[in-house]
Amino acid sequence: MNGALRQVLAEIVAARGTAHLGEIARRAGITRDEAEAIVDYWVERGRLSRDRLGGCPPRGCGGCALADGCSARDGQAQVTAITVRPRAAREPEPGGG
Amino acid sequence: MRDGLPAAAPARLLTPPCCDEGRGREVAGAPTVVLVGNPNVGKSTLFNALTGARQAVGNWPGKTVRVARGTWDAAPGPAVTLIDLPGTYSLEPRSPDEELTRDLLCGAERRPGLVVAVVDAANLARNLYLLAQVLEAGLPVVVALTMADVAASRGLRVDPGRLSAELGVPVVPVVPRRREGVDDLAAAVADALRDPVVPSPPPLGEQAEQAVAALLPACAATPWPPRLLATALLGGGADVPGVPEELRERAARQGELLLASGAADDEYGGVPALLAEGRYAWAHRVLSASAERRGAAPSWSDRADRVLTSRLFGVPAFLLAMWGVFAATTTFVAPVQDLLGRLFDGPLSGSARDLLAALGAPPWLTGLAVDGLIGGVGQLLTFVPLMLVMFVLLTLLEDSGYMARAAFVADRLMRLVGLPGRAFLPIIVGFGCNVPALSATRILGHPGQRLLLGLLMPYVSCTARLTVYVLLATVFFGRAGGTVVFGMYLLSVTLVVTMGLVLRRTLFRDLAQESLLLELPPYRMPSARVVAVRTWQKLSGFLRTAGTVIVGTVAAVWLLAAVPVGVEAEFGQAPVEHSALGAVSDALAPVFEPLGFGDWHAVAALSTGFVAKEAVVATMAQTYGSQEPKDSSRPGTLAPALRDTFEATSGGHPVAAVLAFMVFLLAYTPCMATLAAQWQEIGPRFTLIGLVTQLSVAWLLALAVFRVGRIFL
Repeated sequence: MNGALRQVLAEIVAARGTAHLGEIARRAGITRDEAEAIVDYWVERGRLSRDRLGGCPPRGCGGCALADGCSARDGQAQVTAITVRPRAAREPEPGGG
Repeated sequence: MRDGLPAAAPARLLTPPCCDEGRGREVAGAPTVVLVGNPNVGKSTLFNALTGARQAVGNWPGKTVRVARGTWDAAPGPAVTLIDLPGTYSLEPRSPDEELTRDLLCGAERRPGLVVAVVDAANLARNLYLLAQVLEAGLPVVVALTMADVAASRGLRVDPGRLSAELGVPVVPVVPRRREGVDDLAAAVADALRDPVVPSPPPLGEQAEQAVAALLPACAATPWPPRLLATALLGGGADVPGVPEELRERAARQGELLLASGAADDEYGGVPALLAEGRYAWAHRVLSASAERRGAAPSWSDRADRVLTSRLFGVPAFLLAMWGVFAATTTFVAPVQDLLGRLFDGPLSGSARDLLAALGAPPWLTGLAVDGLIGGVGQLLTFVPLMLVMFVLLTLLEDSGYMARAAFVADRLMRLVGLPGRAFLPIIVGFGCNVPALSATRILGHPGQRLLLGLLMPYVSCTARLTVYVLLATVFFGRAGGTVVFGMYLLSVTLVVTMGLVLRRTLFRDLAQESLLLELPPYRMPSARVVAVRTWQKLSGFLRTAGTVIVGTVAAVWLLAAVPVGVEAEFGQAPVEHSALGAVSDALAPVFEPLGFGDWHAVAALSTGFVAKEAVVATMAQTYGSQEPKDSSRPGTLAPALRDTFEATSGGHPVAAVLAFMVFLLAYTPCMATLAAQWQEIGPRFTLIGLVTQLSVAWLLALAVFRVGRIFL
């Protein structure tokens, strides 16, 4: 079955570049909400990883004079990156039930 | 029980021997109803609304998972024991909470009489996936539809009647906080308990259904719900307890057949994904039939994105927005900045000098206080209006959601020249400050990518360099200053890209590209309060950091300027050209003569700029201030002094020389803190290689700019 689940993953893998979720959803003929749910599915199964971009690094913002007002710091208007995980990094498939 | 499915093994009602905390009391013989749903769908709020104070919370026996249990007077039906199961996204458990939910819902030992599936109307697609599995459990189900108001605010209208028809189970809209719909839910539950109907499970596609059908007879001989067990075993459910090995092997063979037939593909998640595909396809059909999105046309946010993130217009739109910020900043603010500069250079410095003279202060103290602190800090303060306007404009762009699109566009630009996909984030951080940006390179998975970006980061023009650009651009370019500053940022990006290309094609040939999908936040109207607060935070942070650096550097520069070298003079009495500062700067000045700015003032500023770029403007003010006639009536003198210096050192091409100076400032080492951060992130060897490269690139670029520039300027 070549449905939305497979198509969304295939689109991301094949993108070889940057796309945004709205584009992927449009191409797969599903809503953005559905695309988000499908991305969640693949993230849970270790095929994709999701990172919020814009957060300050673990050691803090160093000497950045703009740190206090940095919108990246408080999660406002953040971008989330979804990337294909390399095979070695994937978690084993969980048991079903 | 009416049922279109093979009969499940007899199920015992759930009678948990736990939860001895609180005041929950079960009514003997009361049927058990469980609340199931995704996390954050309002399930616990509904539980509280239904049970009120008659509830207890405690660990489930043998588990560390806390479960709430209570009694619900589900009039007109009987009182029921209500259990709030832990939130889960699916019945494929990934945590002890989810495992307990799975086991309580469909485990062999205890099974409820009815499931109330709490479904969030605002996230219907995600919620329907869990519901698809709940419908496989062979239990009567009632759907409590929450968050309809949130869905409506997002333009999504869910029709409960149509949803009920699609699902084959009752659907009751509820607002737990206001207890709206609670009576209707009680009536639906009473009906379902009185006349239980097991709903049909969602079809999973022809080939998957054949595999399920092949397993159902054997599954029916276990205490588990047969269909759910069949799909779990097909999906590789190794953790389902109490299943005969023979049944597992049969399920594995069915899975292999699905793979062999091409129905399932290991590259795309294998058999579990095939089953999930069926559930999502069913969810899509249910959604299409029962929910309407307001307006058939895309939202204005989507339409804006089609332009602002397009390959054709994305980059030009971003450049236009950035040019607008710098042009507006310098155009509107230049007169105010000039006024403040004159105030600090003239009346304030003069009054302070007169006051100190009247108090009998020694010359060194006057030099430190007036030429150093007032001159340096005063120069910084002249940038306050400029920073204010710029931060307001940038915050507007951030708060509207546009900066997230800019990140998207910038990422595309980076990829265009072969840089790692997500490298754009540290680069964007680097426009604020290179130090945290170097730490942010850790988001890159490949050590080679981190090293590459660590070497490129110093070429990203940080905020500290902006003050120097603005000062020189307004002095030498007047109304075109904004465009020149914008040009410096363009040059910074070009430098990063060019150096990246060079390094990728020499040292980093084996770096693989990665695919990247971005979730962009929707556009929104910026809030005046948020913009005001953020602007203040940025401005005060900048002043605090820059002020600290400047005061320290001013003191150090003053100390160096006070130490006489090559002349007989007391401490603080020698002309600054004959001080340690003047001597070192003079010695270095010939290196910069070919670049058009071989003057000790410029070299001194670049030297303190090596420590921190915030100090460059202050050092200029301080070194020129040291030489000025101590005449309080004289208006602002830094601008004409700068013009005179660059005129003299460039052989009559001051504009070419100042451009070369700005380019050198952009390309050479940002500050000592950046070097220390590089040392930590990429090691001493590459830090030193980077340092030598930066100085070489800066010198060569500045040379090219001056040599070419003096032909035209």
